[in-house]
Amino acid sequence: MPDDKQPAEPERGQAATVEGRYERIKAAEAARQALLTRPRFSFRTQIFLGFFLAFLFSFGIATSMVITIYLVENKMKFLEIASEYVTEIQQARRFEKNYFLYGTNLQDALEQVYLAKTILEKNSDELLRVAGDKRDSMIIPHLQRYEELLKRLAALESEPDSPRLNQKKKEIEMEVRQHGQEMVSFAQDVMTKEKESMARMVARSRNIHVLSFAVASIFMVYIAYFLGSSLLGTVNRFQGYAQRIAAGDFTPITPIRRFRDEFTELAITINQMLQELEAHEATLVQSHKMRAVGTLTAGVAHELNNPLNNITLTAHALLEDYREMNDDDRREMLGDLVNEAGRAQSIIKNLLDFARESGAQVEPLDLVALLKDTTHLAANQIKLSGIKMEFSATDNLPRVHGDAQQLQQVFLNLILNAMDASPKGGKIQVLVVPADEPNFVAVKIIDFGSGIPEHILGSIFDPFFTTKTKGKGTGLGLSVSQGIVAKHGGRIMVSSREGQGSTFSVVLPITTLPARIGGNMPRSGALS
Amino acid sequence: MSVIAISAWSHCHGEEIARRVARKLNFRSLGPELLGEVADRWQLPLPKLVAALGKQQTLLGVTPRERRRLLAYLEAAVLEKLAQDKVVTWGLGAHFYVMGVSHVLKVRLVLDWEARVRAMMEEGGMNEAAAAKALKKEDEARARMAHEIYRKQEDDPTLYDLTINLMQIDIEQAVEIVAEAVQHKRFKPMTFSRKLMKDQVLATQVKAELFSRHPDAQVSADGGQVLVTVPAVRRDQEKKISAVRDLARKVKGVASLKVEVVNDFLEEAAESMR
Amino acid sequence: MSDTLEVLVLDDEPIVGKRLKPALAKVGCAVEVFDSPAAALARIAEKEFDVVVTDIRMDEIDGMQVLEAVNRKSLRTKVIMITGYAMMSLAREAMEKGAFDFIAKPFTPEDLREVIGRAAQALRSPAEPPSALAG
Repeated sequence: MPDDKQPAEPERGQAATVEGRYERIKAAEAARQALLTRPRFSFRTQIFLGFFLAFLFSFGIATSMVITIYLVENKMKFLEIASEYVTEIQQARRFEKNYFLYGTNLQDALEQVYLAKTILEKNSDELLRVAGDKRDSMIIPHLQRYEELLKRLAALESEPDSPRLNQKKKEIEMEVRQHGQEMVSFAQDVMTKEKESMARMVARSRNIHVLSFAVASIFMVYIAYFLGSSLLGTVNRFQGYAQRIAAGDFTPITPIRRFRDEFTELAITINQMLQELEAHEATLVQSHKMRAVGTLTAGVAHELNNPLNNITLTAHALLEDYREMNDDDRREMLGDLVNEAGRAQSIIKNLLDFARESGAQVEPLDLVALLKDTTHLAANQIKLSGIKMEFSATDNLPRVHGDAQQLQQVFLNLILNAMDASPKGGKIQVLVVPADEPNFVAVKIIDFGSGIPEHILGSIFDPFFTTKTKGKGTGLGLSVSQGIVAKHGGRIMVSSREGQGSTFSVVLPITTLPARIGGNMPRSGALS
Repeated sequence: MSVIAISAWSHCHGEEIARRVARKLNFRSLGPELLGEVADRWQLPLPKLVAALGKQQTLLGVTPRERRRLLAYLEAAVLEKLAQDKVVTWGLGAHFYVMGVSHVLKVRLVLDWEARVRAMMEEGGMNEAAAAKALKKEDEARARMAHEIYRKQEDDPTLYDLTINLMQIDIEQAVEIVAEAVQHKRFKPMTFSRKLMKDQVLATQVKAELFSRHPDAQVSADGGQVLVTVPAVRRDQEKKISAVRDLARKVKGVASLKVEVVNDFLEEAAESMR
Repeated sequence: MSDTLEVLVLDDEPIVGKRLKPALAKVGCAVEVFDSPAAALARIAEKEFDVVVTDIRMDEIDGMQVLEAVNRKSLRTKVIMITGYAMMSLAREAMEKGAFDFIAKPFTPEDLREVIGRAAQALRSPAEPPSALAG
């Protein structure tokens, strides 16, 4: 019966992962706090405020227009009254003149004065406003005096036989004319003043309108620009985030502006999504690694049989012939047992080390040593499939900056792929050389298998693309590998010719420019 | 000598070819008649045993657990017979549990749907629609069984050494081909394959012995050394180990026994809820 | 036929030869041990052995090639394959190529003695199939 026991997970690896995950959660929480502690000034408020200000402004303009119109209306009314008054006065003066020249009835003139007086009384308030204290000091006294003089004239007229009538008439006439003159000139003066004031008011109102229109336009343009740029700017910023995330940088979004708004919630949601994504990516990478481990297990299980066989044979030999042996023989056999047990352990250890889930540990790496380890890891599998592996490396290559386990996973994946592509008895070449571009190192894994048809060459890095039969491959190997290499600031290239084999090159930057994993890595554009 | 395991859907001449190959090679034929023996030996209900193989459903059907139990006994009985060599087995699902044994020639017989329906009509005296329906139901039940117990697709040709299309090759010739194929040296038993078979026999026997009390036990054997892995709640582990020991020791051929207990998280969780 | 069985043991794991030599000598075998396939092939070319025990997975030359070389030299010689990489396809391939038996590692000296006993019996009576165990 098959025994489906899972191997126990190494604790150290788990602890490291838990720590790594904790770090990430802490970073995300810090970002969340920073995003949330800002005062809230949402776009809704901004838009509302903008419209409210625009409304206030137009309301002000409208109010000022209404007031101006009201004032102009008043002025016009007053001018009407003033002109009526002037007409009455002029009428009175005409009668007065007729009286003096032709001795006509004075009663008519008095009537006019009386009318003028009523007009004055009716509008005394307005008159006060326009003429100020001149109303009481000039206009009204003049009018009263005039009326009084006319009345006196009328009284004189009713006593035709009074002495010095003509002389008295002459005196009064002088005074009447003077007052009449002043009254008219004063009224005309007021009218002119009022007309001027009205003209000024109309002009001012026109200016105000033109100005407020200009100001309103500027204000509108400003509001549109302000809202638009802050909205669009934020949208652009998030587009940048999206590009950054797509390129594999999962650092949380941190606040840039002083206020919180609707995008804050979006940022928080994206940060949550990033956490999930990162967790999923880690799971994907890990599960893919476990698939590779599964493939290697068969080789390891078989390879393990050799030391086990040596142990079995030696132990049985000891059991059978213990008595006949001398101490040296026994010691030699026990030594063999110890050695072979150690060998068995080392066979498993490599694989277990590789299988262990570990947090990302970025350090300067010697690619040649790493590749040697990797080929060692795959050695049993290679032996099992009867394929030869050739390894060669340029001496003294500079180190690269990266996560040994993850890069090992990439190389192992490429080597296992190359094995799958190779015919029985074929060979695989692994080269570690300086890349064509300066400051990069290349690892080339070359097989002489069937090659990749040109029409699918473009899609081999796509997720879920596989040429292997169902159940053999997930189609994620190269996709995951490319993700890992991209995080290291490098890339994977492939050249292949059908029937002649394929070359996969992993190009990685050397340590002179330390690339922080998952941080500010060079964009692919800089490399391609 | 070798063993031949013949696999086919029903009404594909499986029985006829198996019997004729057995006669020709002077092998024993091991077919569903063994089920009666198995039922007697462990006091199992025969109809349920038949149903467990995905043939002739009983009214109430078989629960997955019951099926595993019945098949554990059946496997033990069949493997015991197969270990004696010179056997042609058919109709017992043996091809599923001798997959890795090199001296078992695994043959799949293929016949097209119409021919099977006709055979079913003749046998059951039913009309075409009824025959097709019954046949379809049976195929589905067997496919379910194969997936449920062995995680295999029974008609996957890569499971077999030889697939014979009976639409193109007549029964006579199919018998000859199978009888000839098994003579090839590659199907000869050897220490490696015999050991696998023996281990398999021992493991299934222990499993059958344990099943009524410890249905979740996983058993593997390697040259008389038996490893039983059984889930148990932590505080019951000692008890469980000795219970398994007492049962497993009864099986003949167990040279050494190792019982491993894995924590029964589900049961522990269930208990803590109570 | 003499009672001593001429046996060649080839395994690139030196411990295998070291342990098997005395284990087989006990039951009356004259054992020659090699851990290099090339040297073993050279010896096989010189001498007809009764039994050849060979590992399969070795660098340079693999056990199947040794099996073929032995068969070319003498069809009488029984070849026993031992391997840590035991798989159904490999086992069948070995048998098809005329191996007498195929044993998966790890095995005990007694296991091998049993098989060699059967080989000896088969050598004595080539017509009969080897069934009973001798040792």
